Amino acid sequence: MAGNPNNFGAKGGKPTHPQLLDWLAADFVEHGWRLKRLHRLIMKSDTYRQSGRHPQASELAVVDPENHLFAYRIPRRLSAEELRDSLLKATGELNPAIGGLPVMPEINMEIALQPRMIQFSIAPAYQPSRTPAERNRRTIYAYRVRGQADPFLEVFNQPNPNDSCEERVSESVTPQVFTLLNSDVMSDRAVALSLRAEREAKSLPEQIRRAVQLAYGRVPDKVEAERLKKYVQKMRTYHAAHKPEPVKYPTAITRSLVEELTGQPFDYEEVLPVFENYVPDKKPAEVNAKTRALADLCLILFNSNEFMYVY
Amino acid sequence: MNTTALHRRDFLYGFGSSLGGLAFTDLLAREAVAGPLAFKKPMHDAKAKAVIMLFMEGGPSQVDTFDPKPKLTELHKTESKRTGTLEQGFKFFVGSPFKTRKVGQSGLDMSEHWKHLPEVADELCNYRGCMAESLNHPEALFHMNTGSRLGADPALGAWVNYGIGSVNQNLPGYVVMTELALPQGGSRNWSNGFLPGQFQGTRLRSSGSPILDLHAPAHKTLEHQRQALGELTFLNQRHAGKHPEHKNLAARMASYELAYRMQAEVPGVIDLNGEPEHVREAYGMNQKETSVFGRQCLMARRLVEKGVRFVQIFSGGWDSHDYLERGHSARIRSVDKSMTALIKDLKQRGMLDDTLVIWTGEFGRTPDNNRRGGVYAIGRGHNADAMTMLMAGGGVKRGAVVGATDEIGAKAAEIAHPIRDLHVTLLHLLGLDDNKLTYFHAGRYKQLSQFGGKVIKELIA
Repeated sequence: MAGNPNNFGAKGGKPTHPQLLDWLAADFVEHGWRLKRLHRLIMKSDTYRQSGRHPQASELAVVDPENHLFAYRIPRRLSAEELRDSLLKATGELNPAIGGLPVMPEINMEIALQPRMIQFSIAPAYQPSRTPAERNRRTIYAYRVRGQADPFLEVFNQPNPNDSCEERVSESVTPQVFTLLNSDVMSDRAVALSLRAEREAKSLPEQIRRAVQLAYGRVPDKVEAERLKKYVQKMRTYHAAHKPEPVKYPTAITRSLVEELTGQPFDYEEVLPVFENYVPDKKPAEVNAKTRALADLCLILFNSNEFMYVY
Repeated sequence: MNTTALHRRDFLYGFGSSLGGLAFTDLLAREAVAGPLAFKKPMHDAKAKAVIMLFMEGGPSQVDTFDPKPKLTELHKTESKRTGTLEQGFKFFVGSPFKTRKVGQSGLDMSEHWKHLPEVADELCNYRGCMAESLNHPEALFHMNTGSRLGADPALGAWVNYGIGSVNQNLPGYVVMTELALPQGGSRNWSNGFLPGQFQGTRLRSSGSPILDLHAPAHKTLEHQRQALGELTFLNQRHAGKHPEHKNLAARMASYELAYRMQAEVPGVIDLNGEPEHVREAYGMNQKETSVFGRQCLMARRLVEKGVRFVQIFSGGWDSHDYLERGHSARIRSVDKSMTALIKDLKQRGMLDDTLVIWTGEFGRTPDNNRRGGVYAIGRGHNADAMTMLMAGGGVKRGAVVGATDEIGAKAAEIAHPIRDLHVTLLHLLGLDDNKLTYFHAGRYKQLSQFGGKVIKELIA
């Protein structure tokens, strides 16, 4: 209701519902500045529990096009952290443990191993945590390297750690598409959801139903079920003829750089001990054509607007 | 709450006009029609419409490249009592190990290892008045690239694209190429900062996938992907049917189409196999020490030709603290041939007039050094008070020296300006007014120069 997120002063925008805002603020202070209590109060109110949609959308578009009066809820794209957590939750890979040391999620391997200059030298390579349980924790536990963002989170607008962020942005840009369609991280999640659906349901229609349920929180209708089944069947034929390359994690990499003090190029080897007994997530090459075909559908579900937006 | 870019900007539109941000709202209005990356008319007549920035990371020495100081040769190895530098203890002056000669009709100074650059000397403007303010690499890099030493603000290329948009919607408007190793401070040097994500520099990688995850894994064919996109469209359309009030669904669907087109266009632009042998040779692609930079320079020309607004190439290793002679001669050799070819090529194609080429580091180097490891190390420290840079094309003076350093090259002495003035000048050449190119963030309108600056008129032709 405040005019803008971090400027309540004279130059800020005016609140939309000043009396309600004052009442909530006073109540908040009177009851000991407790946020959880405030959240409960808001969420249990009749207003909050109304439908987020408006029955007369076209009339509303004329009366209040910017929705200043909050007659309906503007859908919100999942934030970077929510997106990663939601993917892991849907696939059943999420380790919900609370607290503890920061973890190193698996990030794009090209970026992880990319040499990066720091004063006088090259920074050590990014090495993910060794086991899936260790690294597939909630994103709030992910270690943040200041000079090296996780490209997945970065592309979905995780704010950079050097500046305060008053409001998340969530515009749709093409690099997001590349990440969601083509990255190894997403390919692994698609395989994981496919394997889970196969574990939890027998026939193909049931597996599709389960995958949609896990991604969308609803089951597919008849039209969807029919079309998606045809697609997966077609992909079964495709994958029987197209074998993926196995993924190898290097245990050492050769670094070449221009020596800072002399301007001369040189090479050295950096060992990556974590990959000596690394437990990778299941890769496309390790599962059969049927699983890969269902994974194609899972990837599409994860790319779809219904998964990406909160209503 | 309105968290989408579109709503946030709609909101700012109303807000900005109440504060008299006329140009600002104008930007938004234009954007609302054609999308944030679309071509926008400059604010005033522009001399340049694209920038190629050759960033020499580490800090090239002015004295050993383009700004010779005979006085230093006289003082060689005598004690220096200068203070305020990073180097501690006994310091001594360092004369340049290189000979210098006058080149071109205009008689520009160049040290002896520039073998090719003299051929385009009369296109160059050597600016000697810039002052960097920071003595550390990352802060100085951030300052030169983003206008702020803190490394959280939008990069030059991001501001430029915010201001004038891109003429090619199938390519990113701001492209960055690095060596194998990223420069200090990494991607914060080409960050969109508080500007929307579209304005972030896109790294075009010389090995592996040119843009991260541009292509599907090898076992998925183009036809496979087309079918997948068909299914995605099916699901998205059904979903959109259920949510007619949700404006952003269409934008997100459109981003998939743009991605598909980009996937098709990018490989064509970066595939240099179609370039004739004499061009590849001219850019130095056939020699080991220039092959990477040469390839990147040629790529830069092709990208600008296709409408990319801002191309940045990082080339490191200029931090010659100890072995100045070896270090700087090797670094000069690694860029000399390719950048000469780039300027010639742009000229020949009639592109130099409206393409601004800038060659610069993050700061300059000192006239003296300390006894590193107890010996007279012939090298130089970091210098925030003087540096040297080259510009060509884009409306800057040709065959000119602008500004001067003092007689030992320690401090900028004439036409001395901080980096923000350089930035303001650069925007000016592109038809943009720094005071009007603003974005509301953290409670105030922010601009590239932070709090305004001056156009360096002497640089402009």
